[in-house]
Amino acid sequence: MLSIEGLTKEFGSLVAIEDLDLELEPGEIHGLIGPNGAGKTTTINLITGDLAPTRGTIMYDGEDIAGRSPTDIANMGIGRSFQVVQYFPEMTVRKHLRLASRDPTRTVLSAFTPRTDYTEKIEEIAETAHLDGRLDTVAKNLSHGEQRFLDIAMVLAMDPEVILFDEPAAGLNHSETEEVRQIFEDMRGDYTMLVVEHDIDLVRALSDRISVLHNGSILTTGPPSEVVENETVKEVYLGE
Amino acid sequence: MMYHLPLLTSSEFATYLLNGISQGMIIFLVASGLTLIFGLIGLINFAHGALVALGGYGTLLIADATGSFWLGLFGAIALVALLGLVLERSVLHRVYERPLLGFLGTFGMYVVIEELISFQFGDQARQIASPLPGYVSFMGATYPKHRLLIIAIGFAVALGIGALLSYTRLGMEIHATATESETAEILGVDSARVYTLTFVIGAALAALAGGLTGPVTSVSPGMGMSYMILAFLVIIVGGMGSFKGSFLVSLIVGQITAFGWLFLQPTYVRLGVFVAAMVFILYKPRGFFGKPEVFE
Repeated sequence: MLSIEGLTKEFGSLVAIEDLDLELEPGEIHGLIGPNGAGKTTTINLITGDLAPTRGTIMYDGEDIAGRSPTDIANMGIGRSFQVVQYFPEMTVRKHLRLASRDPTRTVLSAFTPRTDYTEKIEEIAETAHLDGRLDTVAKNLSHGEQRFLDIAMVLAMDPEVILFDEPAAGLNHSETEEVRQIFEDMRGDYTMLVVEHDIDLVRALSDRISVLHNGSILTTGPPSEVVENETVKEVYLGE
Repeated sequence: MMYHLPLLTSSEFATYLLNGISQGMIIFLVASGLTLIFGLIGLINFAHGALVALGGYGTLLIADATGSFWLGLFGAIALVALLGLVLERSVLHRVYERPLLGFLGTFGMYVVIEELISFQFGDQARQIASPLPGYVSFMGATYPKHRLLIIAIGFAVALGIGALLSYTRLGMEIHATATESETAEILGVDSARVYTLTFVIGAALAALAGGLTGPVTSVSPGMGMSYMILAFLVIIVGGMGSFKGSFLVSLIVGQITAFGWLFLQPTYVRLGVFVAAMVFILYKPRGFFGKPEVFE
């Protein structure tokens, strides 16, 4: 599905990501964990084109997408969420989802034709993302948890095949985190997901496989039960 | 039924009222393109005045060659829109993040285009023949048909741009890009394309303003700049980037100008308009509809 080989990112003399290999299987939820500064967000930024890699390949649908623009990569079907939720404060949830929904055949002239409302699709997504009943609320009036759900809903509206989540439960309380888990369970199998998350219980509960990132390289990859028992992982990440 | 201001008959009142509306529409046609570009890109486009003049001269030349005002107007709009595309793609898109360079760049473009027009056609004003010559009777007054045409097209443009912003995909993308371009890009909006399309629409509106007003005000190299000053005032008082505000304030300024001439010389009326605008801005710095979010 998405295959990363030899990915390296240098900022001057600092090597943030070094020779990273990562393979996402179709339909899996893949957890990416690691201590602060390990390079988790940088990895996501390299895949989405927000950062250009120094070396390495990112194969997606038989094409090397390393270094392509974020818009191109988003349009190819790779969606992402952010640690800090990005939204338009004055726009309703419905408008966010309408904006994120795109007609892949659109041309310059079609930009001037009446816009499509995507009503049915938007209602389905709102239900998946626990935002039904909030479609006509402006984003600034949503609770922090709902703003996180909006972030997830916006990615879903883009009809992605692969979704990269950067700490989707950051700042959420226990019940909101549980809602995120339920949302991801509902999405399981429909999307290939890479989930960067500090809440290790959430990652264990959700992930089919987990990769541990340490000093910019993958330390190990495997099923959750194996990874959390790995002695090196315990040492560098779990602090045991 | 006779209703009138002191000293005015109903026919005089109607004439002043229509003059005010048509004057307001001319200002609005110039200001609308500026507002779109400022509201979205944050660029104060001084070249807009030169594009207005190019629209006027383009209409004049093509209408002379073909004998059709409409062919001239639409031809000029197409050519100026194309020039807008070239200017935006070659130079302006590089300076959006640098307001001072944007200011200098567009001012430079204005000077170059105006001087080229002046060099080629001379400084004397030239008249475009109206497609609607003659007068109509209205409330006992006779009124030039072409001015009514300007009013009709001004309203049509206001409705058209309003519909574009409210009901099309592009309008939604303009709103999103103007508010938070990075978030819009994350959602797959190609902001560079939105900027380009908006600039081209702004350039087309400048040409429309120049060509349409040519039969009333005549065409000269500096014609654009004379309206630009009022257009900037309208944009500031209306609320930076607010299309609705530009429309409303254009109509107000048009009426003040028209009826002001009853009492004062035109120079003093203009001075009064600017003083009133300054006082207004002191009390309401964001103008009528100015908000951090644009294009309400």
